Amino acid sequence: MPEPNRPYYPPRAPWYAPAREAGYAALAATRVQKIPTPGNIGLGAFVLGLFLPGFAFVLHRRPKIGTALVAIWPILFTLGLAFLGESVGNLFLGLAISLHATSIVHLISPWLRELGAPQRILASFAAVAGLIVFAYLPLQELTYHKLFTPIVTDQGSVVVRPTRNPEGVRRGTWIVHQTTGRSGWGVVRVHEGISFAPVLALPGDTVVFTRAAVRVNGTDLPRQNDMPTEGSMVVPEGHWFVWPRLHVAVNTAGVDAETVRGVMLSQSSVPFANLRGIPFSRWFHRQQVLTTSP
Amino acid sequence: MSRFRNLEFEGQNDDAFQPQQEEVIKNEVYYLGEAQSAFEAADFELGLRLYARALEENPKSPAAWTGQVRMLLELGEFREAKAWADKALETHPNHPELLAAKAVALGRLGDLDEALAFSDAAFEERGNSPFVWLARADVLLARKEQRAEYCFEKALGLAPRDWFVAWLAARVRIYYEQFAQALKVLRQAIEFESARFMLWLQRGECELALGHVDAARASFAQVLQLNPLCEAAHEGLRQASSTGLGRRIAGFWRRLTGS
Repeated sequence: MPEPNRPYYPPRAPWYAPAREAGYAALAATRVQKIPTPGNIGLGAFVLGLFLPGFAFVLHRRPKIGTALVAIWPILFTLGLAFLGESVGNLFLGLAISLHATSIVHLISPWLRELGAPQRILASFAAVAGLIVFAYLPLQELTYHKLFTPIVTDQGSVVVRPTRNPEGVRRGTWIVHQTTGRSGWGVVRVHEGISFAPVLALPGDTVVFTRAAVRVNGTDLPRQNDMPTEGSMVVPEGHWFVWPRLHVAVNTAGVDAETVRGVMLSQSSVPFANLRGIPFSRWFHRQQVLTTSP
Repeated sequence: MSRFRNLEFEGQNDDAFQPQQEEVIKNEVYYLGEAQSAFEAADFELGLRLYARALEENPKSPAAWTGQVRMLLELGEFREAKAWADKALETHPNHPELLAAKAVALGRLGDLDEALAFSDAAFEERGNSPFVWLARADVLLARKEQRAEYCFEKALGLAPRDWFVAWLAARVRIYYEQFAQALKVLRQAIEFESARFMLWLQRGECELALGHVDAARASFAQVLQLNPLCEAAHEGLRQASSTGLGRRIAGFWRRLTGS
């Protein structure tokens, strides 16, 4: 039990002493007595310098620059996330990574100074490449697979929760899905791509097309472009009914409306396997999903 | 003086309102004695605090400084023990027991050459106490040298029939997992002083480590006779009751290898 107010009470082992001892044991096993750090800064400071962009300048006696960079990096990174998937977002993220790389090169500058010019350049490149390969790319992989990912669709860029699990999809849920390339309507051909649209009906639902609306299990929904004006269908198992939003890339002169409706209808059953993600309704300042009544 | 002191109450003995015994003077000597008692009862936390109190009374007390470092060693806080030994050596740079204590800390931290150097320094300062020899044995065991046996003999020879030194020797053996030798020393210590529950407790732990489950149970039972509240003995009994095949094999192996 510590007696901090007693002048002759010794400092006691901290709560993390077992981990500390394990670390020392590992060092002893590898016969490394002390982990070398640039400029003989402490190991903790060195690790902080690696992970906190800009902090290296504080450690190497440039506190004003360091503090400014430590403050700027999260702003750049946040802006990069806010504009994720857009060019300006890439620019902000690129600046944030560059700042981090600069910080790391400055962190190891006492070591670099001992090298010749060619080795110094190579070592700097290696530091930057190492940062990207061992930090940012794994981080990107992790977030893109588990948390969020930007996807460029035919309607623009959208940030989605990456999932291929159809469980969370309901009527009215917007999804990002792969479109299947098809041909066979004369001059009309549908290219593969990524589309972004709401699910109007689930497997087994009955869809009835009329001139006034599209009826799903008896509920009227607004008609969408190029929907048939009559007829009905039952959504097959393992599919959703999603009215395609195709980007017309060629001259449609001479293609009759019936052909276009037939093409659209053929694209409207989206297999579960084509799901690429469910967009966040809002991503920072961006409203991504419009409200759609089921 | 209280004006009620001559009143008599039923059921109270005559001494109840006698003036108090002579007040204990809580000086360095008092705290050192209390700390030694705590050490002997293996209450190292209390010992550490009492040695700190002794230092408050006399900041230059080498016994208190040494005692604190030894408490930290017994608590397994070797890095803190080394740091505190360094601080103590600022005041007493040539004190053999402090040098020896630092040697133990270094040895247990794996700095074996430095440990030996400090142990040598302790002897150069004419350190010839049991603790200096035990510290030497500790360092040599850390270095896996056979000469440690001689140091143990010297330590025990300097304090014949002293259960405390024998117990300390056993603790060093236990730290280096020499349970069979530790058990031998503990049996001797119990011959000298059989009323110390800590000796029985450590004997039980050694017996348990060697797979002598029945003997361990008997030792823990002795502990509980001497100190019914000893949680470690209850825990030892629980372990002895749940001794599985793995522990028995490990114990057999230890007996076979004599460790």
